[in-house]
Amino acid sequence: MENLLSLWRKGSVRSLIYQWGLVVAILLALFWVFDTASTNLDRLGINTGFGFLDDEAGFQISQTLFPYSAQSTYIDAILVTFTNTIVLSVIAIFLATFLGFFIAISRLSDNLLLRKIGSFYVEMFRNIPLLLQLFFWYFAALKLLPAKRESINLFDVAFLNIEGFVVPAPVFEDDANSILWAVVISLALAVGIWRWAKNRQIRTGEPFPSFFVGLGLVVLIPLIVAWLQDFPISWEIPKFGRFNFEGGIALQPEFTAMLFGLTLYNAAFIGEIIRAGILSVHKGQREAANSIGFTQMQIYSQIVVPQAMRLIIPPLTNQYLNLTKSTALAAALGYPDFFWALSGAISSQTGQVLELQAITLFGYLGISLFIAAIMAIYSRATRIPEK
Amino acid sequence: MNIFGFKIKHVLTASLAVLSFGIVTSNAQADRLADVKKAGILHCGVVPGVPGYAFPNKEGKMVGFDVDLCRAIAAAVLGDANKIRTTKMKLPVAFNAMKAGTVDVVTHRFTWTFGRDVGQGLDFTRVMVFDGQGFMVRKKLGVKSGKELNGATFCLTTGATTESNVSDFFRTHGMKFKQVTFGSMGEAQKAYDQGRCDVFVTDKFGLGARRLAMTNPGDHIILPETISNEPISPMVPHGDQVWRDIVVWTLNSLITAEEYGITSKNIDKMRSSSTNPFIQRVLGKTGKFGGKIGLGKDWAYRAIKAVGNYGEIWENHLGKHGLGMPRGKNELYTNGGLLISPPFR
Repeated sequence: MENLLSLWRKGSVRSLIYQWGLVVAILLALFWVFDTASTNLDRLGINTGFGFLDDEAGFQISQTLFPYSAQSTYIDAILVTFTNTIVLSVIAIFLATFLGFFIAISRLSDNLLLRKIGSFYVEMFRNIPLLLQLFFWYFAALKLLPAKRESINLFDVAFLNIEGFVVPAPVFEDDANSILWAVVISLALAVGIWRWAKNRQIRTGEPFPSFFVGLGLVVLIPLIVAWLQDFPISWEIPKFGRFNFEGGIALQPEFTAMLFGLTLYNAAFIGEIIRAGILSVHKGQREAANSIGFTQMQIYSQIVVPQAMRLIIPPLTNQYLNLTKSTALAAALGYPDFFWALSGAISSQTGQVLELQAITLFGYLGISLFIAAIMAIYSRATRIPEK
Repeated sequence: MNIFGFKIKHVLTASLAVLSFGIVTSNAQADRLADVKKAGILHCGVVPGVPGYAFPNKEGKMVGFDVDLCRAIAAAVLGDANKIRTTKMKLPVAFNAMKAGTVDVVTHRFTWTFGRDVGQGLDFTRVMVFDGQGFMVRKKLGVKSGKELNGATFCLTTGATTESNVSDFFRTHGMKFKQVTFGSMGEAQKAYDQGRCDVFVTDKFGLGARRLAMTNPGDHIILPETISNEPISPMVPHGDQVWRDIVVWTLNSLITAEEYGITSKNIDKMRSSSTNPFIQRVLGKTGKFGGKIGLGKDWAYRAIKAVGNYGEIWENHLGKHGLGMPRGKNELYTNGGLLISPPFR
């Protein structure tokens, strides 16, 4: 007894007991939840399991990046809409960051007008609920776009109307694969040149225009390969049928409105994050760079931004995760995203709510962890080495 | 164990109820009749915002066809048609709410389908409206039939039977279509109105109401095709047969009342002076039906008195005094319709 008491008085032992006690309590609670849920499901006679995923979905999806029809399975529907979510998130993240950077610069500028426009933008967009903005852009777009039979004709190949922006679709012939390979190889070459140039600059201080050389390679090599093969790509020109344009690829207003809304809203937050990061770099750094003859561009790209990045990355990651998760609002606008499929058609047709909740949960968790991982790698790569 | 003064079990319960719509926390509802009587209020699931079915009137009170069915059940069970609480339902949350047992009956227009009836933890009761889905298009397109719609774009809502009906119709006729699927009817309707789609599709009785809400109702026509059979039925949670019987027979009594000419106005006279044994049984003057079903002997009397017979409910909300829709298949079988109640015998 005396021994046990003295053990209890030891802080490390006590905290061990608390920690394990908590673990056991959580496990018990989880077990309780699982047990109640399965008893209730049993009692109500509700089907369980993931077998339904192989059944025919029976509904169409308005934007599909790979072949899908109403005869496809639920799992296909989930994959197609998952891709739609990723595409929307990735493009919106890039555009919002780009725009956010300009907002930050303009808010920090010496020009009064630019500064005021920047703050007006930020206050305007970050203070109106996102869903409201999305509805605004969508119905504004529908109002502004011309009716189907009055579409704006661009050289008889591309058309703009309420259905969206319809452009010719590329049709790849058999030997078009070589072009894809040319793109891959030229990309690898560009990365190689960039690394070589960076190493050389660190060693000798000699700069090299690796960006432009790389860009040139990526554009020129595939073009030359295509030319050698007499351009094995043909174009399917959209034609107006009885009701709609047939053929071609349409950039639909639902997607455009989502992209617009998400970009403009998130750019306001990202702008503030970047501004804070830039302000965190001591102004002595800028003055020092200026005094040894750096241009404004160089001061930003070589001195300020690399140091600001340390502060920008963590909140920026948060913002990216927020953006990704808010793509779920797309369901309201008719853009077929991941949440749209799982919470709507599939849920009401199969009634497997718990299973679908689990898929939704792990789907978004997967995307979020992936983004967080990429940001962590980037942050590690750009970290200023310390002793 | 306590966290910030809350019992940990309650904290868990609350968070999980939010997580899974109550599936994990709802206790076995063995006796819903007793629960409803004890609570003194009937929880009905309706989808507000549809004129004629469930829509706030000038006083802000919810009225309509769906609401009246709920009121009839409340009158039968609790003796007072006003003791209802309408819970806003939204597909597919309605199904989850049913499973979790948070509402006693859903009177919103849900189509009775195999997939919904079997293995989903809920039961349909009896068909109250025979509907079918149809197409609305712009007149100037010159379309006369659904079979001319090859290649058209559809505006519709997710979670309903609409999606698979349209897809089946087009597969049957070897045609193609495009669709834009919205989260709610309001957005789908607005997008169609602005010209995003060529066709708007929903239940035909709904189409009539929706057309009136267009910027120019005269520009749109409803095509003759009915692409699906939509028997609309109230739902109750699965597993309580007594409760299901109560709902089914209360609804039956409304139809029987119309068949035998019992209205909310003449019901007292009928009860005191009718010599028809059938009417006497329905209204509880003779027989023990009310006791067998666990309610007082005049349960059906109370229901009919409160909201009127089926015909009256229809005319008040969907017919002459409401949306002005013809009854079509929803006439009594004696008038060439499909509406029939099993006999009170």
